[in-house]
Amino acid sequence: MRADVRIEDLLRELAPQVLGALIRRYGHFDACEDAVQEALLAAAVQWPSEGVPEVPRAWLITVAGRRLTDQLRSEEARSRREATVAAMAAPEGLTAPPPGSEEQSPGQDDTLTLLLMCCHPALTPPSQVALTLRAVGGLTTAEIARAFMVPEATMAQRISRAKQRIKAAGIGFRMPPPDERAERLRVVLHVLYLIFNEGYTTTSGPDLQRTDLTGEAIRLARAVRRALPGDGEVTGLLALMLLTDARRPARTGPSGELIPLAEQDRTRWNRRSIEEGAALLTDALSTSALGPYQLQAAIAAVHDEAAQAGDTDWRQILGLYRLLERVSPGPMVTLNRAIAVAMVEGPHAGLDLLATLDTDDRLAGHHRLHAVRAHLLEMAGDHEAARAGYRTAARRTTSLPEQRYLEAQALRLAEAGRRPHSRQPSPRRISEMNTLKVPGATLHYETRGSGPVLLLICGGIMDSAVYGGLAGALSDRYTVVTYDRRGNSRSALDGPAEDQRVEVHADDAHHLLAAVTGEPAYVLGCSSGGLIGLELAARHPGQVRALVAHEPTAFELLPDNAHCREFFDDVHDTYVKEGVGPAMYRFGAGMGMGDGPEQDDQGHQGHPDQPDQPDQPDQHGEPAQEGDSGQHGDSGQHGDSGQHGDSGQQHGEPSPEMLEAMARMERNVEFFLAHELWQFSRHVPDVDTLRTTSPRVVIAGGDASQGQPPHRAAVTLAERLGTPLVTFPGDHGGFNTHSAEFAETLHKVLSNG
Amino acid sequence: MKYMLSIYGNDELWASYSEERFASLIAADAAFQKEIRESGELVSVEGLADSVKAKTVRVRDGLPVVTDGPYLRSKDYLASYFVVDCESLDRAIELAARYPAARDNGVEVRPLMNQSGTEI
Repeated sequence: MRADVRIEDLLRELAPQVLGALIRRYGHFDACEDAVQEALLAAAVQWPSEGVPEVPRAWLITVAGRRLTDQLRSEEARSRREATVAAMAAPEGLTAPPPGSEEQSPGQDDTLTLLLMCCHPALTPPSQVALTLRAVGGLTTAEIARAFMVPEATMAQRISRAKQRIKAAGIGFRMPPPDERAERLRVVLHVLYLIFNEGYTTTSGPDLQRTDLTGEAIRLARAVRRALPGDGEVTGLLALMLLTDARRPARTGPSGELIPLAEQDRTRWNRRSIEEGAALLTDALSTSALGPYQLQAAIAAVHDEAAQAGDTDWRQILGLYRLLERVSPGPMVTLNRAIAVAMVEGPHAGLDLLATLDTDDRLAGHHRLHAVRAHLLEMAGDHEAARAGYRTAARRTTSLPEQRYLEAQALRLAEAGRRPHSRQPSPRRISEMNTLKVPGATLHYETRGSGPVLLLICGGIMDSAVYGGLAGALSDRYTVVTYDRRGNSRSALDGPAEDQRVEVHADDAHHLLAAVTGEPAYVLGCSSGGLIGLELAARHPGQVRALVAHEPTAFELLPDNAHCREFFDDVHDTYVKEGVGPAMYRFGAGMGMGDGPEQDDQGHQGHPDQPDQPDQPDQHGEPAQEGDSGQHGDSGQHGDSGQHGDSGQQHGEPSPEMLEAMARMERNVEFFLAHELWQFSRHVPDVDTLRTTSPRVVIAGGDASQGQPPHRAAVTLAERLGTPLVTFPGDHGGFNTHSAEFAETLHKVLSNG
Repeated sequence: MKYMLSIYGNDELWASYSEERFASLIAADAAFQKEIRESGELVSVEGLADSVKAKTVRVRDGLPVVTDGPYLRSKDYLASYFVVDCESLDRAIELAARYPAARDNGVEVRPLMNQSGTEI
């Protein structure tokens, strides 16, 4: 028996053919369409268990025909008409011409005829899109509603209204007359492109299933091409979709942030799609008249062919935009041409061209005009005007990912502009960056300040930057060393990503300490960094003067460790089956840290649009406030991105460094879920060694995190070691959110040794 | 594109309505809802309770401070809203213009943010 997936593909392929056959026989597009949907549903239920019938198309036509006659009969009865179903010959004009030439390949012709019908100019574009997906694509109303994020009832009404409209306008199931065909086909291609873009522009989050729309649009474009293989624009559209879709894996970051073309990881582009698209394009260009889809595909192909952004052949792109502007003029084309002009002739030439668009009403106030201008102004070195332009654009877009991107650009320039005028940085804010080769990895580490060495070990997805505030507050008394753990941020593994062990991370810390000092050092480890610190103290006691382990995630020590194991199994399963987002959600929820009173100053800034994604313990607190700025990151950092006034950035808005650090840490999430979280959760600290032979070990817990699993683990561990639990300010992430007070407590604890 | 149509008003205005006028407004509202529901454009519609039922919450020094009344201290306040999913801003404006409240006071039309994005 074939797999369900195969059945679904088969049904979607057959849907328009069955519908075409039915309409040809009975007329009544509206009723036929409902009957086909019912038949498809029946097949989806029966075929997987009873097997696919010998002639699936005939089976569907029979079942749909039966539903249709039932329905028509009951309508008949209701309206008390005399006529019988048999007599319901469709009125002239509602059926196809008598069987003839088209019977050669009814499937393909039917698909095209149906598309032309569903994309009739009498319908609004949203109706054309909805009806196409249902009648030709074979999607259910519920699926379409989900993809467009409207209630099912709304979509059902839209489809039913479209069908009424087709009936009322007397739109028949037939090819339009030859003189209308080109224009009607143009509408079909436009609708397919709309469907494609709905899916392609999706970034992430709850609407991920929308990306199915790109696949559907490509499938339908292939069907049109089979019916019209010689049409260059049909082929051009298919090529454009493939060449664009090829970039989808690289166009967004892990949390849905947009990555501009120039910064995309081009190794992630889909080579097969690029090759197929390029081959189709070559075919179209050599056999047909030039058209806008072919030209856009050609531009996409030039981008796709560049191994690096710097290799892009902008001269060729500029030439193509000039042609496109001639074939299909419009302000958007001019806008894009301005970018190409700037890349070839310099930013001022691009800006001159943009100036001609200022009076174009179609573009007035459009965010993209402001965004492009800002980009070119930045290229020209006018950072103040560029910053204003990015901000204007950010206020005018209705896309959250674009808004975040544009705001980040404005902030970056604002920060850069402030720097030369800002007060002299005090010496202790300066950190020195280095790398250290260790077995299996290269570590990125930073040192700042002077005095005895204090090593800060971070946990979870965090990196060195999360200790910026704390390190700044302590660098007047210590030589503070921070680093990115292997596999995270700037510390690359030698080989491919693999499961991590606490012991190996402890050895990394050992190598790092050996590289920076010959003396025993102070060590602070937070969260899973605490676990690593404990292992370091047990394995290399001579290198540790004193260790503070803040809420080390020693879940195995908890009396309910069986429950913990189940939980981490579950989070790992969720990651494997459903991906990063759902797994982090489950993790955050299970740690009981989703909506505590301390949450509102944490995590939201990176996820203004994902309020239902709770923070996870190791994500607590934002990365580094700049050194000794004394801010705790709880002012003005909330995710109300729409409300940033021009003066808002003075107060605690993230610096470019911080944004960069956040982006880095976001990229650690996958590694954390795949290789660390579950693996570390099974680690058992060597309590016996720690109790007997190790250096001084202090177990700490947050004053705002009592009852949460990491805090409970800390309490248990302190009991097992026979030491009192020392309370630190803040919660699990207090080292960051309360860095100044946290630093004072830490210093007191360390100097009381 | 999704748009929110916000209907504002004030007590003075509503108190000035005659019984017949009030009834005709309710009928016009029902007809409007029916129309945009059947056209497949209505995503959601809600009416809000009177502003005397509104509470505004502010957290000060870590403690919630609750005051009576709407957040904005103006005569007009939000009375109801529609979310529509329609073809264009022009269409959303056309719908807003047809809503009876647009004749007495005004209907605010604003696009909803979405998750789609095009890279620069």
